[in-house]
Amino acid sequence: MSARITLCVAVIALLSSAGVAHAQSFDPPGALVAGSGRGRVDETVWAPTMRFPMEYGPAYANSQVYAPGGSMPPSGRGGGQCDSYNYGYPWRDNFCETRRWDVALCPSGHGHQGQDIRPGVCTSGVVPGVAAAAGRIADIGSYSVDLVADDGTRYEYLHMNRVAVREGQRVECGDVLGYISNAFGGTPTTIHLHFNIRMAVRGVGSAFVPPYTSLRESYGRLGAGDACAPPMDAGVRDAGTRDAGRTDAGRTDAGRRDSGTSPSSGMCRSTTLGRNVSDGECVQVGAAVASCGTGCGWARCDAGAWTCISDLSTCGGTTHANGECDPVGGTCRSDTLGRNVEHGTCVQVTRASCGESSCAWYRCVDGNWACTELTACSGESVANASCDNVCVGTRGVCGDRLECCGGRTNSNIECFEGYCEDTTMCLPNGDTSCGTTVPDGTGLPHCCGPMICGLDTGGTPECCGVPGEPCTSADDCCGFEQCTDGMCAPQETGESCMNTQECVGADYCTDSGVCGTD
Amino acid sequence: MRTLHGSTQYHARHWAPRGGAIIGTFVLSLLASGCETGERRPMERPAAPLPAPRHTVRADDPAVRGLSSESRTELAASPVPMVLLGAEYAERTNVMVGERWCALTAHTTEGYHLSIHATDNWHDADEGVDLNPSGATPTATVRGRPAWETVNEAIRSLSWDEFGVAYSLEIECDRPEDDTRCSESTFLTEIASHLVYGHVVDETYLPAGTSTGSGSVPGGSVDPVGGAR
Repeated sequence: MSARITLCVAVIALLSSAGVAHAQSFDPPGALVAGSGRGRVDETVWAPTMRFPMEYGPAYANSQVYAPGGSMPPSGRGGGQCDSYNYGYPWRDNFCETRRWDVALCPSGHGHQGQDIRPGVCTSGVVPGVAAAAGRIADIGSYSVDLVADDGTRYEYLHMNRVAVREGQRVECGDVLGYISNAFGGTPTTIHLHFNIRMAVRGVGSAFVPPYTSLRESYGRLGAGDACAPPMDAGVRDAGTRDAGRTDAGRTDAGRRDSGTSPSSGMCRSTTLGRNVSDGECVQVGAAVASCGTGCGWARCDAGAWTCISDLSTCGGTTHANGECDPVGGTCRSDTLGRNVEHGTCVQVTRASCGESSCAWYRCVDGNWACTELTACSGESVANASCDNVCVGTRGVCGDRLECCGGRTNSNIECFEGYCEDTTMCLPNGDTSCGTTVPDGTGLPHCCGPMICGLDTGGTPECCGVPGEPCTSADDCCGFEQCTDGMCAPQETGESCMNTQECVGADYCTDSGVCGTD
Repeated sequence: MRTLHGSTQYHARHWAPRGGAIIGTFVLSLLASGCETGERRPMERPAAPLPAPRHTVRADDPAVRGLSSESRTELAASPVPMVLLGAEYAERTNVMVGERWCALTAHTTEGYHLSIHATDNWHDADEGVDLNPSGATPTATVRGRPAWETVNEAIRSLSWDEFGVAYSLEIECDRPEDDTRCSESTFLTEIASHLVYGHVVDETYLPAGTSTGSGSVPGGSVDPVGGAR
């Protein structure tokens, strides 16, 4: 039953500004930091459809303990938690890292049950943690948020602050749950997300399963701008070439109802798509499947059961054309994607075309492809992973507006102080409402860009800059930070503070209001 | 794919670093190569067709009677048999369900909270994948069943199987480092000993010879409330 996945593209990039290569790289599963225990060598992708649990990258999966700023740093290596050692590739698995905790799947029988992931910036409360799947918030503790997906898989997020959801709330894939921080029941840890995947595993029971490979795959989809798409869709984008083998091959017996869903659930199991779909959605079966005619027929999900149809206008606006079949209506066949796309969809190709040597954009117009500019694309825009144009999400790190996914179609989206932002919908510096309003799950309201909702020296919440952020005066910075050479400067050990983010290195703001570690 | 430090690494996209002109302007090389990782995916076992649900809730039990109406409604819709905490937690318990699971939480004012999760969506590992390489065995017992006890970032849990369902019971403390309710087994084990079966889907769902009753339930009969959904 092994489903072998073809992994993608090797990209070597030279970044002009810093001259630093930031090619992603990933140590294999089970390869722990030397001296940190024995890892589990297991390529199983336990949660193949999950979304990466941070809204945007970069992110760095590695150990919090066996690292600078941790309790067991590498020999001869100093530095605090913000050390560059911790904020670079390769990723490192730390499932089964030495702990006393019993874990059946670990070679030693005990170890670390999840994966630690650092956000792209060493600042608490900035990077959103987002739903890895659609489901419900089953539990919120003093430093934990548990999301249970529809299929019963539990995704556990530890050490978030500014939690933006409530227990029982329904969330969709990618919804903001909270912000990555160092919260740990009153005793701060390093700024990171401890991420667990727990599911019922036959022979073990309710088990913590290794999350590393699932994270690695979902990170790839995030970088491709396809964070919440099922893997069969994400995979076809890898090489920018025709993916003949991925057009639902082996999944062509659509039409069976999923016995695992309840009769009233309004969901149908599509083996063509490899997932359930909702009532009203239509799926085109493969060319060799005669369940609705002689092949390439259409089936609609009606009250949990499939009905063959011939009129696509009854599909409630959601159709899933099959890449094995000829385009229908206003759709276009994309060899790059290995499937058909709807009118208005734009696809980026790698071959020389449209007057470009590579990476030109095409738009599907009434069943035909037309060369286009990205800014003219009003529907889905599918970037090619081989091209140098990262779509970094709605709040990702950016250097240019067009790097922001929404910036391609929404003129309100700007690259604000290095972050994609809709500046009409976020809070400016000095706004004190950030401390009185709870984000509603859509990410709003939040402080624009890299600012946090911190405290001023009088203890009033306000949007303010953390060390390293631009400023014109100390008023722009959080707490007691000073504005030095146009940048907010951190408070040293022993100096006054209001927020941990003000403090240098691994210091936090102690109960006595000074930066320190005790 | 290349080897660094003696280990295989996979190279994919790049992210832009913070600040400055972010995205690389000069791509030296694009190596579009299909490279198999050997990754595997666990098989989600299709659920066996079940008989039509005949929902039954132990409506007479204080652990059920003390729930809010919202929680009782959710409980009645549970697709899996569900255990509840003892009656003293009922008023503070929130029950919720999904397609293949049921969960509850109970927050207290004493610096801890409890949660239970149940699902019947079992996943099978690939053939040859060793799920218990150390040969460890469960060291605890819940409701007479072998149970795994573990701690995850100071959150203590017990997990066990019953009626084809995987259960876990957890406790999280607000100040975990100096709270023995989380750092030691005793408190959670005591909580587990008072679990009550509050809901079953259908008697035929259960293996022959099993009982839905809990030893701590004082004699209540099982009331059919099939119209609760």
